Amino acid sequence: MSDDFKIQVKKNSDMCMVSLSGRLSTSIQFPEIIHTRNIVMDCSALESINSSGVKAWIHWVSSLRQSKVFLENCPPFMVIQFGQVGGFLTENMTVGSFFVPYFSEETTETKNILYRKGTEYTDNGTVNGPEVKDSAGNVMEIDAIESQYFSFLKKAP
Amino acid sequence: MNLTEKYPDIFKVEEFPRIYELFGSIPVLEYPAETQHKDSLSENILVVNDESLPELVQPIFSQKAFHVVRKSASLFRLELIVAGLMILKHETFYNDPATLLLKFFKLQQSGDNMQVQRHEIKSTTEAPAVLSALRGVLPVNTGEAQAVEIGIVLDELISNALFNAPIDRHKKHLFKGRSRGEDFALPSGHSIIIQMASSPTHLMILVKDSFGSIDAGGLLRRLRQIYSDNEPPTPRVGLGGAGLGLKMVLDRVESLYLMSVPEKYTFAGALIPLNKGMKKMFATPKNLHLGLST
Repeated sequence: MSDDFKIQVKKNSDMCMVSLSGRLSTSIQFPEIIHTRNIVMDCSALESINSSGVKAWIHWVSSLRQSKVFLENCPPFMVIQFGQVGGFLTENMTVGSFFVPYFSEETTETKNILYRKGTEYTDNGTVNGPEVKDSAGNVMEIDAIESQYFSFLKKAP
Repeated sequence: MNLTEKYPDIFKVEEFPRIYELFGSIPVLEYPAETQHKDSLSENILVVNDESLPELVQPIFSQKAFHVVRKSASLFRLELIVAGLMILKHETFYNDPATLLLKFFKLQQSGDNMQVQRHEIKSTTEAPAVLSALRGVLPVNTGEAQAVEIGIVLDELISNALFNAPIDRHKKHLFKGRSRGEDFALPSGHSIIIQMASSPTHLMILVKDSFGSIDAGGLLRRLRQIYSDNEPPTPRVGLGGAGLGLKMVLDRVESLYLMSVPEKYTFAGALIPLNKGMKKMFATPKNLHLGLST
């Protein structure tokens, strides 16, 4: 099955910027990244994942254990995998920011809100999200099972 | 007690005379009170409370077919009807599930806004277009995050039908070992039918292949793995996994329907609640229907 997964890598002496986009699925060919001290991955343009993509991801990130990996703008489907699949989020990874889905029972509106480390959550797992309102002014609820969705924060190094 | 006696309000004889007659022979058990029932469970429906699923897995393993329906199922009647059809008249459900659903959703007075799609694919290259078409069947107010999660279910069901189902006449799997990035066509005369039907409250996805190769023993082992392990699954690197695809589907659906007749067909169906947000989609109690021949 062909996919539209793309990966862009920009490197300098001790930093590697990786931009991921498309569907993390069956046909991914992750590039080999020569060891750099820090790798920053922008996940904002990732669209979806399937079980083959999960396996490919785990295989790839296991080869990056020599580096510190910072994940930015992680979409909800990726955050769900953090808590559900062993090896998806490795010990050398730090989640710098991730999206949290919100839902309004009244209007059925949805929003994805970016949580940033040091602002909406801390290293020790404390979460202090913003109050989010729908177009009618109703307070929206986090649209995830919070004990599962945020569980990776307690495991963070 | 049989199905129509147990739920006379749901299966009123004057309203559903044919169903009443057909389903009158199906025994219904209740868990946990009747778990000591010694009859074969393969043609029974087990009705359970929400809290009992983990304990329920054990009795499933010794059965060839099994239907577990939650008392709190949002479409309780549909669950019982589907179970009944899978037991007694599986070709009805297999041959034209969308029509069945259409009738049912109309019965629920939500059929006016029902969307239906049917796709037939014969190669891996056609699958991404079906995944892209999903948005067209979802209600417009479905959130983007939930749409992605629903797409994962469709993706897993189609991938399974393409890569794991095809076998040759010696029952040897044709594509199971292939890289998931590889493109190939199904053997001549075979195809995969994908049907999606949605009401404002639910989406039903049905994926049918024409191989009937599901490994009942392997499926039951994976179910045991999913419901008995406390730790999250860690898939093996490379091909294969720890039932990860099955778990990704089960996590996201309200009901999973799997039926296979060896060397004839397999269908996998998923019922997904739509109008309650993603949280309730994940948290909803599960119904499970297995119709597996060995």
